[in-house]
Amino acid sequence: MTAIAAPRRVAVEETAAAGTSFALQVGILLSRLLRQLAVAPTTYINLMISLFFLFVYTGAFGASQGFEQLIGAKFLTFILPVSIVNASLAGSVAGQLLVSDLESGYLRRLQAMPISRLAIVLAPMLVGALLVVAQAALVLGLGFAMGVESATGVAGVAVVLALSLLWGMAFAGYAVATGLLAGNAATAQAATFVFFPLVFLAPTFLPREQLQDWLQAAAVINPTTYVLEAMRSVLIDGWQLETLAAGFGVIGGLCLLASLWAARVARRTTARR
Amino acid sequence: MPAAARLFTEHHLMHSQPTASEPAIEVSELVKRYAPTAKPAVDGLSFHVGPGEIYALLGPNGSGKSPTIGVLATLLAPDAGRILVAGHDAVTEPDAVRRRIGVALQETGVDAAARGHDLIVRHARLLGMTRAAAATRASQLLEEFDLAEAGSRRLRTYSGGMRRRLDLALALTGHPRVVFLDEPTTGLDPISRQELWERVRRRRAEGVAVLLTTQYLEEADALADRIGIVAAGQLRIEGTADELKRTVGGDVLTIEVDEPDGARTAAVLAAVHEGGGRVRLEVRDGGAALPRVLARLAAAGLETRSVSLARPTLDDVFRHVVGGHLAHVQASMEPAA
Repeated sequence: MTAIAAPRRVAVEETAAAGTSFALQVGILLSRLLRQLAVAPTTYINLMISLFFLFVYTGAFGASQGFEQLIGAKFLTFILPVSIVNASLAGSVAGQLLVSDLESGYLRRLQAMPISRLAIVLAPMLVGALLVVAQAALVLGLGFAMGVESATGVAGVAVVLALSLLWGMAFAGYAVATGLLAGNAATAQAATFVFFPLVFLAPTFLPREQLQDWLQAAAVINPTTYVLEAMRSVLIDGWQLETLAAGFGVIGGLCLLASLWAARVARRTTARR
Repeated sequence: MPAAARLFTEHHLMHSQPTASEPAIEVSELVKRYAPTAKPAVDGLSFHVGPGEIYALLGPNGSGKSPTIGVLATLLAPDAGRILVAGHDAVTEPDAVRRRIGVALQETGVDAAARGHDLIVRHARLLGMTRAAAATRASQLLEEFDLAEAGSRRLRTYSGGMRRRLDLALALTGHPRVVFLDEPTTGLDPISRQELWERVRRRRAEGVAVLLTTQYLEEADALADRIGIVAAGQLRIEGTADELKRTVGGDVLTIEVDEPDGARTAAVLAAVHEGGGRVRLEVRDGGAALPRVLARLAAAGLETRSVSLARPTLDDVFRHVVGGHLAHVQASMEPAA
C-alpha cells in the first residue's frame, strides 16, 4: 500500500446525542406503529372477521333451545369468548410489522441509532397485544349490546380482557419469532395458520365433555381450551378459581415462552455479526 | 439557529474537550469475515479520517467497502482490528458511537407509510430531542434539503432523488460528528448529485468528518479531501486526488513550436519529438513546469504556437491500482481448460 498524506485536522467540539429512556423509546416506536395500523385496511378486516363469526355462529345456533340446554348457557354468551379468541389473530400483526421493517431496511436504520434492541422488538409485540385487547373490548361491547350478561359483573369483564391481553401477547410473540426467522412477509403470514387448529381443536362450539373422544384428547393439550373455559366461567358460572387458575396458568406460561422465544430470535437477528 | 434547536444543542448534547488531536475515525488492521472459514471481506484495512475531512473509499464491487462502513456504523462486528469512531471503540462502546454518528447506507430504508416531517421528528425524538426541538429540527432539515413542501406527504410518493435527500437529512438529524454515506448519489441526475455534494461540503465546513463510498470516480475527485482505493478487502493506495493521479505518471505537456522538424525544441527541453513541430514532455506538475518551459523556449529563440496540458484522471489511477486485481478475479472465474 502507498500512504501519501496525513489527514487535515480541524479543532471541533465533540457533541453527542443525549439519547432517551427505554420507556420513551418504546413509546415513540409504539406510536409510530399505531399510526401505521390506523391507516392499514387489514386492521379493520380482522375485526370484521371476528364480528362476522359472532353473528354467523349466533345465527346458526342461537335460536335452538335444545342447543342451549346442551351447553347449559345462553348461546351468545357461550360463543362470545370464541370471537374474542378470534381477535387474537390481530396479534400476528406484530410479526408482520417487524418483517416489513426488516424488508424495507428501516430496522437497520434503527439499529444504527442509540436505542435498545429490546425496545425495537417490544414495541410491535405491545402493538399486537393492544390491538387484540381493543378488538376484544369491541367484541365484548357488542356482545353486551346484544344481550350477553356477565355472571361476575364488571370484574369478570376485566378478567376476560386480561386473558385476551395475555393471549394477544403470546400470539404476538409467536408472530415476531416466526416472522424474523422467516425474514419475509409471505412466510410470516403463512405461520399464522397455526391459529386455525388452535381454535377448532378446542371446545369451541360445545363444552369439552360433549366432544368426541379424539377431539377431547386434542382439546386437553390445546391451550385455547383453558382460555375459552376461563372466559366462559366468569361470564356464565361465576368465580371458579380452579378454572381461572388453569386459564391464567396456561396462557401466562405460553405468553412467557412466546416472549422468550421472540426475544431470543430478535437478539440473534439484530445482533452484530 | 432557532431557539428550540439551540435548546437541544445547549442542553441535550453532552460536551467534552475539543478533539483536535484525535482523528474522527481510526481504523487499524480491520478484518471482517462473513463466515469463520470464508475469505475475509475486509483484510487488514487501516486508515483514518480527520474532523472536517471527507474521505472516499473507492473500489470495485465486493472489494470490502460496505462491510467496512457496516463495522464502523456498529451494524457488523469485526473479526479483528481496532476501530475508533469519534474517540469511542465501535466494538466495546457501540452506544457511544451511535450517539455521535449519522448513517445513510444503501440498505437502510425508510418507513414508506410515514410523512417526511414525521419521520425526521421521530428520528430526532429517539436521539433525545424534546418534541419542540425535534419539530424545529425537522423543519430546518426539510428546508435545507428542498423538501419543505413534500414534508407533509407520505414517503411512498417521493421520487428516488427526494428519498436520497431525506436519507441524508435523517443522517444529519442529531448533529453528528461523523457521517457515513454509502453510495449517496447512486441513481441521482447530475444536478441533484452536485446539490448533494454541496450539502456534504457544508458539513465538512462545520467540522463533520464524512466517510463515503462511491462508484463514481468523478464524485470522489470532486468531493473527497482524500481517497482510499480498496481491492480484495485491502487498502491499495490513499492520498489526495492529485497525489493519486501523480502515482500513475506525470502531467503531459504537448508543445507546438514554429520550427519545421521540432528537433531543436526536443533537445532544448529534453522532450520526445513527436514529428513536425510538435514535442511531448512528461513533467511531475504541469502547472508549475509550464512557465519554466515557455521561458526556456523563449531564451532559445523558439516561438511557441500552442501548448496543451493533459493530466492523468482517477480512472487511470483506478485501472492502475485495481486492474491487476480485476484481471486476477476474472482469471480465477474462468473454467479450467
